[in-house]
Amino acid sequence: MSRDPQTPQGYSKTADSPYKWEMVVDLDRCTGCEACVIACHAENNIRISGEEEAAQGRAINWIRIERYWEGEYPDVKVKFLPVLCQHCDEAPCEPVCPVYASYHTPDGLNAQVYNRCIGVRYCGNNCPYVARQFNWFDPHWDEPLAEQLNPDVSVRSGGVMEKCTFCVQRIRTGKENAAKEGRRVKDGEITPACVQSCPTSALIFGDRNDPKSRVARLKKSERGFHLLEHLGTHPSVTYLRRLAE
Amino acid sequence: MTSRPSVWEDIPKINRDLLAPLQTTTWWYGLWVGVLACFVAAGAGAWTYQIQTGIGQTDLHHPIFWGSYIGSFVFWIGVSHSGTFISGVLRLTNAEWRRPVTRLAELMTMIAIMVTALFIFYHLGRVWRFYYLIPYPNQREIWPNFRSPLMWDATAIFTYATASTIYIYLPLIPDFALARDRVQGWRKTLYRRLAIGWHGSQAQWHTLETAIRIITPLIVMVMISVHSIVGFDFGMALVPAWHSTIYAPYFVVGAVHSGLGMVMIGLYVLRKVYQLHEYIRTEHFEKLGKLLLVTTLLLAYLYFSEQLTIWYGNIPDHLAIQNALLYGTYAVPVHGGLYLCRPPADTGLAWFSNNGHWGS
Repeated sequence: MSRDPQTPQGYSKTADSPYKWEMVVDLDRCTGCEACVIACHAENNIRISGEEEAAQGRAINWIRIERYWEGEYPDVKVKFLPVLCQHCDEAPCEPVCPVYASYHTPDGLNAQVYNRCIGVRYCGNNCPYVARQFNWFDPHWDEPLAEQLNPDVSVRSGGVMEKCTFCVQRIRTGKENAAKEGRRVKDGEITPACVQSCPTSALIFGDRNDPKSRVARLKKSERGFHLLEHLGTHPSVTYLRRLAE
Repeated sequence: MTSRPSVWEDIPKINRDLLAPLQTTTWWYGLWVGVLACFVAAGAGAWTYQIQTGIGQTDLHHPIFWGSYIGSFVFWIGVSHSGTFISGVLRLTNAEWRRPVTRLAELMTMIAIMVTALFIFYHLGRVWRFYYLIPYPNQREIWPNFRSPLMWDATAIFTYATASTIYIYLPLIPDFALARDRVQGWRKTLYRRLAIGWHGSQAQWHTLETAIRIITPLIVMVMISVHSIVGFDFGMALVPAWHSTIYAPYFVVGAVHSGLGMVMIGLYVLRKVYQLHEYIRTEHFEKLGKLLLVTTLLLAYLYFSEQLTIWYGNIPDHLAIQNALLYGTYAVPVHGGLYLCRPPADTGLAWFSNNGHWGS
């Protein structure tokens, strides 16, 4: 079976759905404030890890801000790079899951089926973006934090892999609302928590199949690139380069 | 052994010597069973604790998702290759000296593969859902994902376990018959069932030998494929320094190597404990030692070519791993434990056994 490295094919099932979700990250606008990280934690019932767990490398973040220092003090520059699940069209995490817990939805999302996951952790090994996060222990929230869990998002038990979903619960609500009114989802109607909370609008979310959407237009920008493009994973997250200063 | 002139007269004595442990039980046998039962209980307790509190007790953490369980898994499946290699390959090449070694090696295969299977369960994050790995008909019509190397792995191990059980059972049938005629009580019933009506006629021997001749090449092929697939678990992944074609042959050679070492240790113990110096002779250690030397040198070559390929390829991600292994964080265990110790130590073991130091 030959696979063309340039165009996604094989098990890409995007043709079954009118939508193809895409995120654009404008690095020129990102200030590294981490509002997206906080918003993501609140929206998606991400477990709270204490100092100790974080020091052991077991803190869970679906989106993280990578920091790159350039130059020597005092003439130093810092660059930020928000990294989340890239929802690859040719996702390396999908074929390796023995139980189909890592699954490609018709919308082109890389979904993780928590109930199906048995925790072999091959997907975590095979994700080049280190986006996949594992629950080494059962989650715990101190009272009264447990009272503020989002009822639309399942709480993951110990032994299960999890990662960014592009806020699939919001996508689902948006699609249902549009279907009730017999129309397509409008551009900007669905915003994942990170996109909603970004004070500089560095994150943009939308439908790539709609040629008039902001993401479809920004994606074609000359500044656009993908992370680890040479691996041929065809990510659904497009980054826009920083402008020269 | 068959070449010795007195072989026919020896048969009653051989039977008496080899079946002796079946007829007498010493106090230290009971003690040893007790000690091992304590180990099993401790292990079961530890596993229960891990299931109750979480797989995080393994001290693994992001982004290292696989650790000692997978390492142990690879080791035990390697040990399990001893039986098939020694008895299968040597049977195919008509190496007559293998005979006294064969049974022990095959038994070790079966035991090791059972231990291997345990490590699959230890490793799972939610072991109580292990049956998702089994292709059973279910209401949701979800099958396991046969694109996953882990699924190939599970299939391969199941095949290997089944095949090696048949492989040890077939040549055992005449021996079950021997035991059947010499013991009493419930064991007589057991051995009668296992011997399935063996009475040693020419026709029966002919059928048995044909069956063994058929299964031997098959199991040798299964053995090579099983460990290749265990290598694929790593080689198929995108992880830098794992993504390499070297893993399949590397793992097969490594498996035969560790299997040989384990058989030699097992033989030594067996020989001392049961006083089998007449049957397991220095000659056997010499020949196993030569095989061990061959696999040691092959393994050393593979260690070298693994690193050479990465170094010459100069791909930054892979090189970062190599630097950590050879010069960085892991330099001491890698050089000290693997490169400096393993080939010389194994060559030493081979030399030691080859010079008759294992004594008579």
